Amino acid sequence: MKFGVLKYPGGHGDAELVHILRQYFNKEVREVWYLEESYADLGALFIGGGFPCNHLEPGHQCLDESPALHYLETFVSRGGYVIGFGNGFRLLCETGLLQGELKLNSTGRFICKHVYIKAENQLNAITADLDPDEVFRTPIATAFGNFEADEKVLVGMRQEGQILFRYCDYEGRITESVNETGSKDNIAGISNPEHTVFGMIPQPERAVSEFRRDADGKRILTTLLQRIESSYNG
Amino acid sequence: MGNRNEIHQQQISAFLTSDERYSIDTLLGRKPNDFELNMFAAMWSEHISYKSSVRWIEDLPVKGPNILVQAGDENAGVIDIDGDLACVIKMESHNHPTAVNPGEAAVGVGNIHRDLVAMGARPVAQLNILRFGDLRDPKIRESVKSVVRALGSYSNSFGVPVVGGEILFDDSYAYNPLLNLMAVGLVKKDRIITASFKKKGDQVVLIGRKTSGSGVHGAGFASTPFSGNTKHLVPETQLADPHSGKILCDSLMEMNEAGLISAMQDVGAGGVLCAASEMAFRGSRGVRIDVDSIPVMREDLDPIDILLSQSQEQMLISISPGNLARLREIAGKWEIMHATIGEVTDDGKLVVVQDEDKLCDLPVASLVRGGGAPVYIRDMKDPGRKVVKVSADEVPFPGRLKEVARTMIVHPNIASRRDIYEQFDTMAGLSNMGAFFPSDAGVLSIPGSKKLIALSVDGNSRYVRREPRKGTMIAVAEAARNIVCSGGKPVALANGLNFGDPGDLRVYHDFTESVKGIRLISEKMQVPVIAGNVSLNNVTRRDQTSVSVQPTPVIGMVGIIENQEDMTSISFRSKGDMIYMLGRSSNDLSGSEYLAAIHLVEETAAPEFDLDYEMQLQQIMQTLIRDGLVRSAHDVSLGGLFVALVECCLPNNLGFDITSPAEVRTDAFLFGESQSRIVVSVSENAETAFLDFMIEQKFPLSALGHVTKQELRIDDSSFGFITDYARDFENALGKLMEG
Repeated sequence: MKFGVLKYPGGHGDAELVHILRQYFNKEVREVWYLEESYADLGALFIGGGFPCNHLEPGHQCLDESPALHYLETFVSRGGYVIGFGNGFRLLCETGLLQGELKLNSTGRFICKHVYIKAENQLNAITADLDPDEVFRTPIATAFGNFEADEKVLVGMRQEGQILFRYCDYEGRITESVNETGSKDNIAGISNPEHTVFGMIPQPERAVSEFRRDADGKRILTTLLQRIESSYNG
Repeated sequence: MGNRNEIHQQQISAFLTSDERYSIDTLLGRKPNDFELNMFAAMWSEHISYKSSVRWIEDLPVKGPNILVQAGDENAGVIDIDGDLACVIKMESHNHPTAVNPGEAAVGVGNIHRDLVAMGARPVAQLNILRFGDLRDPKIRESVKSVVRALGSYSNSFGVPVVGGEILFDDSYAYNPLLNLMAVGLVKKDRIITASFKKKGDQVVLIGRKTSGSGVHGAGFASTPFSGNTKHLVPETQLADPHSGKILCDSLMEMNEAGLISAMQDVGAGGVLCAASEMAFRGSRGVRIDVDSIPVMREDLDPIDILLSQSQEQMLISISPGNLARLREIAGKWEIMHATIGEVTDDGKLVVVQDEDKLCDLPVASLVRGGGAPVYIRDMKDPGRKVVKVSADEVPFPGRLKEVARTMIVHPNIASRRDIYEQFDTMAGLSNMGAFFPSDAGVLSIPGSKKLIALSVDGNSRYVRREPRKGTMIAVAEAARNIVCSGGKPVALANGLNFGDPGDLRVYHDFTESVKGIRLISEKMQVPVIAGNVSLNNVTRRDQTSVSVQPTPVIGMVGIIENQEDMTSISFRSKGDMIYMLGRSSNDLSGSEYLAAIHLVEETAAPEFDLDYEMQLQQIMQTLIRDGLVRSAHDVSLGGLFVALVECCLPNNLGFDITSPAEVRTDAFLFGESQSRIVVSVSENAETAFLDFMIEQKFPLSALGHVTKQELRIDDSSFGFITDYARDFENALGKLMEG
């Protein structure tokens, strides 16, 4: 199957994702320009980090008018997977495909560092092969990583197994002091109720190099890609 | 508009001397009109013409086997890397605007990356070099926060990783913080673009955002000592927009890939006027510009404002008429503004027209550096400063070395920079090799190559104060040592020369000494200058008088690591490894942070420094790494050996057990900043080979001790555990920032 990576003017996470999926995972990847009206040829679409909006000159075309984003719902209803990392997660919340919202970090500033996360369950393609007791070191780079949702939504998410990852310390303890972004319940990533749309602030695609001793993200992506491919039926 | 005119009149008289006005009359053979006078005021400003510095700068060695484009020839220097790839290097300052408005720091980031884009290169790395006043002042803390936020707001959105930098604090920067930036781009050799107009008839196209009208006479402002009396000269604030900047960059990359662009330059200080005249001069061409065809953001702008506005995210390109259609197509895809505003001529003249009126018609050469712009060798005077060396015997032994150690670790100039660099995306583009594996230099991978690029910056103004030449040479040596410790070989250097008022005889003397220092060491080490920036007139007020900032040369070094396997970290690897120090300790405390922080002795000589000895050290270090004899390498610099050892321990949470030599006093051994020293760790297996090699070299070497699990021990006395140091060291700067 073919993977897609959303590309829009002003973004930069797309190039990283394309590179990683091709070089490290040997996948067939194509860029999806934000003006494309459909991409039914794909099994999954990735949305990377970066900033889709120009906040200085009003009237500039923003992604609200992106046909590629409008097609997302159809894509998902037809069995496609959608995965947003970093700001891609925020974009998915804004389109309504994921519940909740991502606010400015509680520190009020951009944070780039490695953090520890662990899988909340094995109910999602991205966590299915991960041991819930195992801790993964992954980088974050975000100003808007502070996940928030009202309690009712959170209850539903917990019941449906929609919480993917939570921030923890290097020994797996979930404490407030390691919650760098200030997210509700240390939540680092979530899915939709159907477990086909995933969003997470940590960027596993940036941690795939054994040489740099920074390869925990590779395990997460391996799980995700294998599971998606095995469930794909054209 | 009357008011604006009045302001321009004031600016002209502030920025042009009467002698300069006389030279203009002579050059043109007539009186210039007001429009032209404004152009001269901008183009002959220190900031654009380098009139006080160029005579010295041109003595710097710029040629070398790896140099594809020399410093000064274009908007950035280019180094040959590997195969068809080249690396573009740029150094910039953004001191004056940042001093007035910290948010302007973002503008500096956009500017420097567009200088890389102008060469056809994609920006891949950035280093931020900062100087601020004393952090105990809440205003300074606010300024640091704002500048750091502004820098990140641009680079994080633009998608360029910050791979290194430097931030130091000294009272002399209280009102005039310094911001230097170094940036690196990659370009295929056959896609390098120059900033020289080529053929008569080529169309001159402005691309990017519309002209804002702000930043007019910014160059003149940046060339004036800023004080309360010069407030009226402050140009309107410019707004940087990283989103537009990224789109502009990506669209130009696509146009360059398609081979459409024949010349390109960023619209920076001096606006379209400066870009067009410099491009025409370089290509020995002329240019004709139609003011009315320049798209503007607002309608109330005079032609001179339009021409001089330093609009952000805007570039000037020339293109053969046949390529215009394809350019429009690509610009359309990216929804980016573009307008043909003139054309290249072959008469060597700059002609600006509006409707049928000629606003100016004069030889391009009269305006620019290397042409008619003035060149000054200013008066100078050796201030005859006493150079006081301080040995440990001359200050009391502080006792309680553990407490001194703790004080040093949390010192604002020594503590971890984590609180700052975590606000920058250090991993964008996935090329930063050091995000989790720190080396003395920032290390970048290169797509499709086994080579790596190493980058470092260094500048300790404490060393330069009393001995500008030697202090600057130490900065170059240390920057090179950083490259060597990371596993690389230095190939070129960039200088950022930040000084005070060049009219001050001593300041000018310091500046020339500093340049001579760079020249000396650059020639000796055969590391040519690839990029440079001079920022003069950095002046601060103290008790109603103007005081120049401490002379602040900063050196950026570019190196190549031949193989990934050679990349070497500062980090100790495992318990039991032996710790050695290359070089020798001494009782010399001159210039050390320890002397200033603990003994409150500031104005001293620079540490002792011997260039031949330093070069021998760097040669030996390169061999040790290539032959795989060491497991880590870290140079001893600010804060001395103790700080260096703690830094080696931190990444893997290890400790050390060392013994001090009898002939050096322990405080000097631990905290002195004797130059030409490197701490290495050696595994048991490699130790014999390591020692055999070192004995052959006849170079000073001391066995310090070994790596321990967590405890820090010196002369059998416990200095505590690494976890405690880690917490203090990592959090100190954040705490200082909270006040």
